[in-house]
Amino acid sequence: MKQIRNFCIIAHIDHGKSTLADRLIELAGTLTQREMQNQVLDNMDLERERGITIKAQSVRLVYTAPDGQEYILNLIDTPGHVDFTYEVSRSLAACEGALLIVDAAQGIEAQTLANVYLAMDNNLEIVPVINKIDLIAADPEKTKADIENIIGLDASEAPLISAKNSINIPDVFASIVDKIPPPQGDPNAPLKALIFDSLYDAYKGVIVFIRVMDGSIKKGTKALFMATGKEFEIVEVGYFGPGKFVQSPELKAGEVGYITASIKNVRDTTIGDTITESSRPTPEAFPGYKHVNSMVFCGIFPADGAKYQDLRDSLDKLRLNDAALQFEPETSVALGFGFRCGFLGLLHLEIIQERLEREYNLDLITTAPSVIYKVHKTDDTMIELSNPADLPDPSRISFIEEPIVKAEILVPADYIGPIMELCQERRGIYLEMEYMDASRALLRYELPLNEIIYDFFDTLKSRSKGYASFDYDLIGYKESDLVKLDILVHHEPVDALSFIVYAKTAAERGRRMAEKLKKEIPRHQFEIPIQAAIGSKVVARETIGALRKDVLSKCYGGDITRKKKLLEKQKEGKKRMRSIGVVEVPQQAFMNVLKLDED
Amino acid sequence: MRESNAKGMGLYIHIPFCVSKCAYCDFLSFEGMGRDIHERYVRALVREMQYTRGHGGYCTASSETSPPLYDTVYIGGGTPTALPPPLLCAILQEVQQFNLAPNAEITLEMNPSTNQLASLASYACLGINRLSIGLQAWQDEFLRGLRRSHTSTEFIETMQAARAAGICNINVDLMFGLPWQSLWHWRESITQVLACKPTHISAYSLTPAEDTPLWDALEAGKIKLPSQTSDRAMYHEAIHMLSKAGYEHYELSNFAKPGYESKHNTNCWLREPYVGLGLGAHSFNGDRRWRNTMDMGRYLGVWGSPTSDMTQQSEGMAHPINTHEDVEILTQRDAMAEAMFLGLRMTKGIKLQDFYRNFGQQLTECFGHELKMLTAKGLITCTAENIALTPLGLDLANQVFEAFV
Repeated sequence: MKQIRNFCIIAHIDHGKSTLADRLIELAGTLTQREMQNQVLDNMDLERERGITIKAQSVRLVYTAPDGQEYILNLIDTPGHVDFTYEVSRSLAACEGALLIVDAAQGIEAQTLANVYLAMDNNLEIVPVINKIDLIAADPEKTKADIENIIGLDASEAPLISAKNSINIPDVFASIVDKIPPPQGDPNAPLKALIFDSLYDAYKGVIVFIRVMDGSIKKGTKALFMATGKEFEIVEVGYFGPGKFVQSPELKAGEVGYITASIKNVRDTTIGDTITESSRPTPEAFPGYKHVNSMVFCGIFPADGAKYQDLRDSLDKLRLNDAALQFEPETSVALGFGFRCGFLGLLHLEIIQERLEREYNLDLITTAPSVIYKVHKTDDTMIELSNPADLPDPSRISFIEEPIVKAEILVPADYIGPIMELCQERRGIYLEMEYMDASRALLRYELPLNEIIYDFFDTLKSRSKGYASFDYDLIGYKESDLVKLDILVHHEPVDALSFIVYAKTAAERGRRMAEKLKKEIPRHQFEIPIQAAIGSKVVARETIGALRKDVLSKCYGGDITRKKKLLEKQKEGKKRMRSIGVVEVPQQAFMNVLKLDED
Repeated sequence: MRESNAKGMGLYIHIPFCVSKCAYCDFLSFEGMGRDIHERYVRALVREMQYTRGHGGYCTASSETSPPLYDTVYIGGGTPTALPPPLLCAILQEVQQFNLAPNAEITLEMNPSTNQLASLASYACLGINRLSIGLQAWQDEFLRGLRRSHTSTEFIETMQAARAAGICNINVDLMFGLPWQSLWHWRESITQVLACKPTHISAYSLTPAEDTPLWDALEAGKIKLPSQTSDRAMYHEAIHMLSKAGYEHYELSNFAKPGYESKHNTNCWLREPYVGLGLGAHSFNGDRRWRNTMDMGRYLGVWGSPTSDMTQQSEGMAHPINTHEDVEILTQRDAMAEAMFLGLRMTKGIKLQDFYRNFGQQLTECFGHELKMLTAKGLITCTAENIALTPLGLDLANQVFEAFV
């Protein structure tokens, strides 16, 4: 056990986590250059494109120290985004240490900080590594000072590396072996293993990623999953070879690897759960297990109603690997049959949407994202509402509570003003500001989640020229003055466009939506009023004038083929429309109307 | 003899030249070309005409049988009268070599200002019996705005010269919905044109086309078109004024004194065959449509070079030469769609029995659903004999047409 090191890497997006992981794998000699698919850890296309890791991946490295000692290094990869904080925390719990990668040119970012604190909470030994030292803008000394001042870690011995250009990578191995403690645990005690991730495989069922703390697990072990109460007989155990699973006879205390047990449903293997032996259970499960709840919801509908079943199949497949994805059938008057889907956050939503469109070739219409509101009714009951369409009549509502987050925004001093303004606009409550150094400040705000789920991140980036970074944590619910804003097209409410909004900004939001919708809906034979309403009170109105003229005034011998194509195109366009009452609304209108961009 | 031959077919000759391009024009036409290119083009065109004549006009499968009979000829452009008179005469002489029906309608398109008034008599001698004059607007300020190179005075002179030359069947093109044009301006244009007593008037709503100066000016916000409502007011006014003056509104944009409907265009709407010769000209033989090349270099290369001389071609007839592009073979379904959106352009509509005769199927069975929907929307009327656009349908004709494509 003394030769094992279990560690993860904490880094901000594009500070070089995946690149360093590649270098470590390369140098440990387990893969040839040719086998390297450049970035082994990020194996989904989408992850590679976005440069972020969505699913935790892990790899076992064999490192031979200069003194000839062999070490087994288990690198446990962690997802790198606010939406996946819980997953990150469980990955961290499987480790004894963490490499903290900091970009020598950019310094520390809010998200890095959040994950460092998470690691500290899990009592991990944190080893700073300063990356990208070969950049012209690199300032390793300042970065070291940053690490010491902001986080309070000793960075004097931090390796100065360039993962991209393979500079000083051996120093990283030395630091891992020297600084990170070997795992502790009793191989003879009852089995106690932590699930930190899982993956669905069509042949083997769910592949469960575990860290064994005490005891051992092997083929045939009758395992009990303590949180779900499910029992399974282990079929296979093994460790993570680079890019593949390698079977081994058993996994012992201190080791990291995987098990399979013909598990059909990824929901039976919730992250953070404890695996033990049915016959000799460990007295206590791991603390910190949380049932992951969706925070953001939206309706997803197939653009072509006939693809409903395809959408269902695709969501089913995605859910196999993504326990955090929830969905249930939903029917919309405007959009037909689809699904109400729940996500960890907005990034999670976007990733699922993109995967559906790209990997499953679906054309989708998504409705406005919503959070869960606690609606207290006058009869003293409370409902948790994730679909604005289900909001009871105002007369039956006593009050509504909305989820509140604590946001930490790390921002260069020059942009403090604009960012504070943004937070105020989004109903933020200022908590405090802390100068990290002369040029950067950490702003803490309390913000309603519904104000940040749509375009907050983009706006934050655009108002800080890309420099501000942000992290958030749900802290609870608060009563708020919220109303449902309905959009009516030709006096028909469009359920897919209803959303819950802060009362004071509702009229303005409604006005902008009506204006946008006016531009999206083509003229009809009759006049179409577009109204934004709160209850029965209309707060904004636009009118689309009636179509008075739609005629090709010339059509002679030379025009026929061309005019026919024009007519076909016009007809084709109508097929892609949705009927709301007697009005045909183009599909993209549903999405475009929600884009309340900076104007 | 095939039935289509018996009924006669159309011949279209394209002259892709103009003195200057108008602001709204997206037709295949070149401005300010020299005498040299005019001559080469006419030489090539004459060759294509001769070749076509020798090959049954492309229109019948069996070119050996008797040559097709042409009952309409249309020389359009561009501006045919942008050609020097001798060259235009050469074309007209070549037209005379076709198997023309005794009462064939032979139309020449022209603008009022082409300094060819003296030649009109020669054209009449060479068979021209109908003129189509592009006036567009009465007010000279609008003509300048549209970059038309004539005035309304020149128009009056042209009308007089035409009549002096013995050509009394005259169409006048007008446009409404022009930038800054008011209903008052439009009424004035109509009144003035009526005073000249043409036999036929076309009234088009200006349709901006991409890549034209007009489009760019609109995009840049320099000019503004009248609203849809004003545009329709002008259209309705035209229908009202012209009907009152004895012109029958026989097609969406066309008005004629009884018996003076354009035969050539009516044949297009009835899907009668026509052959188009010259750069970019379109043809239709009943089963397929095609277009001549739009590439002047290629056109002149194929038809204008000695290597494509008739003598050489007649030796190896295995591969008939042509410059056809974009050949579209029509299915029965395509043909029906065309019959609908072309036939409904004419105010008297489509006779159910004509449709049945052409396709062997009842119109009401083929398009039952569409007819019901369009009737409900008030866009068409259906009787036991025919279907036709309603007055509302005239304004929203595309809403009707698209249902059938």
